[in-house]
Amino acid sequence: MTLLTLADAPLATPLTLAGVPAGHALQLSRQGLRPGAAFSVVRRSTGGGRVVSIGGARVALGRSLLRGITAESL
Amino acid sequence: MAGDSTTVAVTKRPGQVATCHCAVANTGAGPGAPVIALIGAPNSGKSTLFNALTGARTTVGNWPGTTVEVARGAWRERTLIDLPGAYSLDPLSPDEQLTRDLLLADPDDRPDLVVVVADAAHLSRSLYLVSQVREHPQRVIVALTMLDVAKRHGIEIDTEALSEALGCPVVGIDPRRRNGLGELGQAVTAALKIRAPHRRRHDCCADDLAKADERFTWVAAAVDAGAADPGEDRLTFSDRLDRVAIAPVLGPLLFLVVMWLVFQVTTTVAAPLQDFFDGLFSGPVTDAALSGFAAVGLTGSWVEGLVVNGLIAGVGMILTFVPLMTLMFILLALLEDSGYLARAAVVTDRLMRAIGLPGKAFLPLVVGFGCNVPAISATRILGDSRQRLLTALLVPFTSCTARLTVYVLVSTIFFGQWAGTVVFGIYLTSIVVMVAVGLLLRRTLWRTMGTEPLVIDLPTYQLPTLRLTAAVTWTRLQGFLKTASGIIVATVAAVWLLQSIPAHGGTFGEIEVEDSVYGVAAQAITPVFEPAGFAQWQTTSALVVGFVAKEAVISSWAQTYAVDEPEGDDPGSLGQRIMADFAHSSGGHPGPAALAFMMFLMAYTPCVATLGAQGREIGWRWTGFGIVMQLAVAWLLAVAVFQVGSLWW
Repeated sequence: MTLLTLADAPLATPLTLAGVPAGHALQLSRQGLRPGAAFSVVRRSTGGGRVVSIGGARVALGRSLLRGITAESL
Repeated sequence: MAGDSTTVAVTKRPGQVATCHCAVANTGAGPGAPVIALIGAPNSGKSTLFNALTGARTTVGNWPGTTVEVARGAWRERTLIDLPGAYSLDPLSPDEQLTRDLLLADPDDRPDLVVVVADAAHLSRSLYLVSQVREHPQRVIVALTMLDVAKRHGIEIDTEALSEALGCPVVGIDPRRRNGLGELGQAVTAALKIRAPHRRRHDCCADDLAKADERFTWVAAAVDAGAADPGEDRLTFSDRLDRVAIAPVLGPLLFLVVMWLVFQVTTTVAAPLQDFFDGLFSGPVTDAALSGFAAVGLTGSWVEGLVVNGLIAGVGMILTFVPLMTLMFILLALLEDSGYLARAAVVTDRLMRAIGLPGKAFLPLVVGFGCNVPAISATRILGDSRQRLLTALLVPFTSCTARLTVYVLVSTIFFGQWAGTVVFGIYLTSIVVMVAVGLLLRRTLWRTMGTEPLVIDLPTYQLPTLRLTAAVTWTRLQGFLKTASGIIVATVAAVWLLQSIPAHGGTFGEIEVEDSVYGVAAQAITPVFEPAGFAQWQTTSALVVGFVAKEAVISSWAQTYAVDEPEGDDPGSLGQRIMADFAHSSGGHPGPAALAFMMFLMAYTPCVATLGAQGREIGWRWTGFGIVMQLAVAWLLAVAVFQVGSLWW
């Protein structure tokens, strides 16, 4: 298993969320993005952000969050 | 099934508690009727369900944050309230706080039943709210929407098993196509006959995140029991569209093309229809009125002047813009319903971030392009109070459709076939001005303001339905006509009165407009606009009237020019008169003067209704600050455009 930040995570690869920035944990958990959740990065978006797939939903995340979110690839 | 409904703003002051029964305007099924609250995550189909059940037409869109006020309507013998979208009952913004307060603040005044609208395609996330509501002694029904989307994703839902696991009834519905509403009604009737179920025990932990974990675990168990999800993460049709819509380079280009098309289509398609209505009012309608007055011996009387030059000229001019407004509203409704606007928020996030606002702030600003009043209310989707204040101060720089009517008139007069492109350019300029003012405020007043990172749900694209598009368009058009007609009649009467009162002696109603109180007051202000190239009292007075509402600018022009018609001289059309006056006041540079005028119109105070909304949301001190700021920006912009433009044009 490799620990990555979301900025470095490959696209279309199954990931497990490892950690989120403390100040945004509640905001992200409302979208299902909480430690242990299975997700994948679907694409890069305008402005350097990412779109992730979580529980069938698509959530756009801004660039400033990417370095703070860590994930494990299987 | 249908009943009356209303949308009301519920604003709370510190210490004041909003309640379902009292704080909201007393409409619905009447006192004593059971109150049913609709709650759900943004974009779950909640407002569509409300509209389907009550026959109301609240604003519905396929993007998060459509409901920022509380709509209330009658659903048979029950009162239905549509609360702002919320992912959870732990509020992160004022609209979510409002939802929590209305549901839980006062135990004696809670709704009798809560319908949680849950998106079946994203079941785990949607049921989080159910887990929280079930922690309170409330009757709860889960209305599952988007079952068709879930099915396409291979998700099978057993509503009975899910109901068993959640401890409350679960009903599958499709509010867009009005399926399952009867079953929902039966479930509500049955639930109201019994006591609220025992609340779900949730006293595991003190920490918010640990509590959230416990709830997600409970939800996961319910989803396991009631849904079979293959867990495949296939690329969907929406993903394929997003390959372009939010791509790093193509996304912004597509956004510009979409916006350009909106203005191009509205101006070019509406033009022949406008000409038709213009001909109708200035021709047969005016002729009929003149004949009528002649028949009763009132030719040349003040009554004839008021009706023909005031009401028919003013109202007629506004009605010629109905096709244009309709097209604009249809296109905005299509963009909203399709799901594109959430992508627009992603595309503009970086631009917004430059001024310290999150991409989500783009959503109220987009609403502002339709009308500034709901846009001010929509700032409540933002969590940070300073971000809300800044957004509310920037909303007036978004050009509403009322201003569009003036742009189209002026651009058509001065720029002919390039009118659509000029109007598009003004809209682009308004975005640039908004960003510049935002940057200026950020660097001066709010240097320490933090930024909220972009976290936004991208809804599945959907084909807009004719019924929804038509309903949203009709609601907005009705609003425009209602406001415009009231304001036009009132301002036309006021303008007529002021034009009839002599400033320096003379007989009431028998003076030249220039010698009236109206003309003299406008002439006193006019020199202010000399550096901008449109220092003419007819235009200055229209701008003063436009302070009330931009719908009144054209009617004021039409009224002034119609009354100010020299006898025995061919007055020409309104356009020719305006063109001649701009050419005169600008010293032979009518083009730059017209652009400067439109810039001023774009940036100064939109209307008194917007000021009222601002006063409510950010207080009168900041509203006053906004008025001064907008006037200063408008004047500086107009002067700069004219001074630079007249150098070589």
